[in-house]
Amino acid sequence: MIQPRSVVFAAAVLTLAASGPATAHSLLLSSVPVANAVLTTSPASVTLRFNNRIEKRLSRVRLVDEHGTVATAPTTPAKDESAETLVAAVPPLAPGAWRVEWQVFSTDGHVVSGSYQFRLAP
Amino acid sequence: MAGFVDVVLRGLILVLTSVALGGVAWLRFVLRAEAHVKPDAPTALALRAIAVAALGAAVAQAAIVLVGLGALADAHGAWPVGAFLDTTFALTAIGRVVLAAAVAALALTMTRRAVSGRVWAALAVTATLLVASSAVVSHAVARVEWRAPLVALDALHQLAAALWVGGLAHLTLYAITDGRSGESVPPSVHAGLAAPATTIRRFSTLAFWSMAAIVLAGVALSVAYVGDPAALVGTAYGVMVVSKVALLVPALALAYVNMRAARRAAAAPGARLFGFVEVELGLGITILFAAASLTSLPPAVDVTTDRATVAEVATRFTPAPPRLTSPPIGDLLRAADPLMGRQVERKPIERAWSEYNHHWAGLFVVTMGALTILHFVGVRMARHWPLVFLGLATFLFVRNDPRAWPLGPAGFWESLTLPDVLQHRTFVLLVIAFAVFEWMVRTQRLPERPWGFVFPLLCAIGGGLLLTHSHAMFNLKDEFLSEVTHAPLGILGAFAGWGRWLEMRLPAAGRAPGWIWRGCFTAVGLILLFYREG
Repeated sequence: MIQPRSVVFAAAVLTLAASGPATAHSLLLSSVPVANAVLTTSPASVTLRFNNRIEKRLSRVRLVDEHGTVATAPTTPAKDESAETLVAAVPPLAPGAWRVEWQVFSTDGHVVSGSYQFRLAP
Repeated sequence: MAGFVDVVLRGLILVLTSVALGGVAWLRFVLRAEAHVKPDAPTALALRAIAVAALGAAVAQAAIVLVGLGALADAHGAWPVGAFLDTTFALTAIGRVVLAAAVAALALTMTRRAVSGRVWAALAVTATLLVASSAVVSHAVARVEWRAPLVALDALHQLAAALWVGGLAHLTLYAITDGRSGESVPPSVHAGLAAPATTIRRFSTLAFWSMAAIVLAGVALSVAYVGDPAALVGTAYGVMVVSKVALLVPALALAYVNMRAARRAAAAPGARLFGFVEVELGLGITILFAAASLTSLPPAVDVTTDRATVAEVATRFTPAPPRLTSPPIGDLLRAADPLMGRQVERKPIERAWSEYNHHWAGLFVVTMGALTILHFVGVRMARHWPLVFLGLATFLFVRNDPRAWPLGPAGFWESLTLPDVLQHRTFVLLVIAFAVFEWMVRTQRLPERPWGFVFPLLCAIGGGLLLTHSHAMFNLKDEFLSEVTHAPLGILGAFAGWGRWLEMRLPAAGRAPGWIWRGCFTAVGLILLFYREG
């Protein structure tokens, strides 16, 4: 949390050092619903568009409400869907705050995950 | 952790496959080994090096497959083997394991007996495919547009880099076994060597054209992946590209010096030339690890919303009074998220804590830098400078993880289950070990050769690993800005290490290498001293 990693790097430069944060390769360019959106109806799907091609069979999306309840969102590749887009079917959601958690496997072999939130109005 | 392991493994593979392909080029174009002739001692040595490197590459590539599969395991720990094997990445990676194993097997076979031209050609083709196929697991293959030309450019870039770095590795091996850099000479090897000056001249030609291809393909790839000049300083990817260039420039300068020296050498080149070759190789390997780091970052051209401005980056390098007073630990613990819980956001007091840590660490390093300079100009007492590392280690141990023992509520053993904390504690142990070790060398309790080489090697490795450090929490602007100083720290670490290496290897080079490494060492401290997070 404190990023002491950077301080350790002072010694690392002078001795032997390494660090292990997550890689950050695939970049989420856009999403539907967008981050921090307030919706009046439950979305039928979540659409994520990345900066590179992804392996859809190895990519997944799930939705988590504020109590930690998970709604599974199976990814559903469509014929006309582009190689960098992931679409997940969403079951009917209860009103409240929801966090979209995604993990993708890019074509060049990087596993990247991320999340964002939206709210479903009562 | 998987991300970091992946980057290090990719860097390792770049180095090992370079040794394999560079070795094939070394044999064909420099030593000019012939078909139907039993390999002489230097040829057999190079073939053995190719075999070992290829075998290492096969193991590392297999490890990457396992790391990737492990990262994809679901909540129940099940590995999605079937779906994974359907991907381009998996097929290419497995193919590369097979190619690397084939290169190793061919090279080993060729060390034992005379083989036909077809076998030589098979070795060249498999080694070339091994390196070129790396482009199929690179950014290029995942791009939405311009895939084919980018894959081709990337393959060219990697082939050229492999010929340069791999060739340098074999030249260094040649120099060591030739005994011209002060090492022992295995008689079996020495007997079959070609005239060293001729060998160096042939290698210079190969290196020159490799370097030209590296630069040309590198410029084209940078245009495609970076986009505009502002992205060179405003994104993590851009900064890594600049770092590669910063390392390549001195390597090019050394290559130029080496080439001129080789052309002038009427008879055999001396230790001076080979000393520079070792440093050129070291810089080349560091560049390969920086290249591996690039694979884990989104291309700068894609980063449009979280990009920092030039002014924002410049602010991070503008000196300001260091923070020498720490925020109270009680306030920090009340504000920060629990160590063992989910980290949501970084609080201002956490940033203040971190700045204080950086600034005091900088003071320790600047003090050591000043002492190394005093020792250099003749103040004998200053030779005890490595002991300052003990103070730094104690400081880091107490301050690194304030929510863990001894300052925070999380227990010592409990906190060690977190990868970050485990790494920090391990580093502290390394710093202590290094302090004692280097002090024993400086005070002649341990002989300078070979033990004195530990310091420059660890410096250079530390610098290289710092460059491979991926940028946490995505490419968020704040994270990028707080870590943007890592790139110059890594570069300075590499320069310090190789400067010290030259100082030890080439006393005839004068005092310049000594000033270079001490200057870089002190500059590391100054960057830390003026580090800022906001």
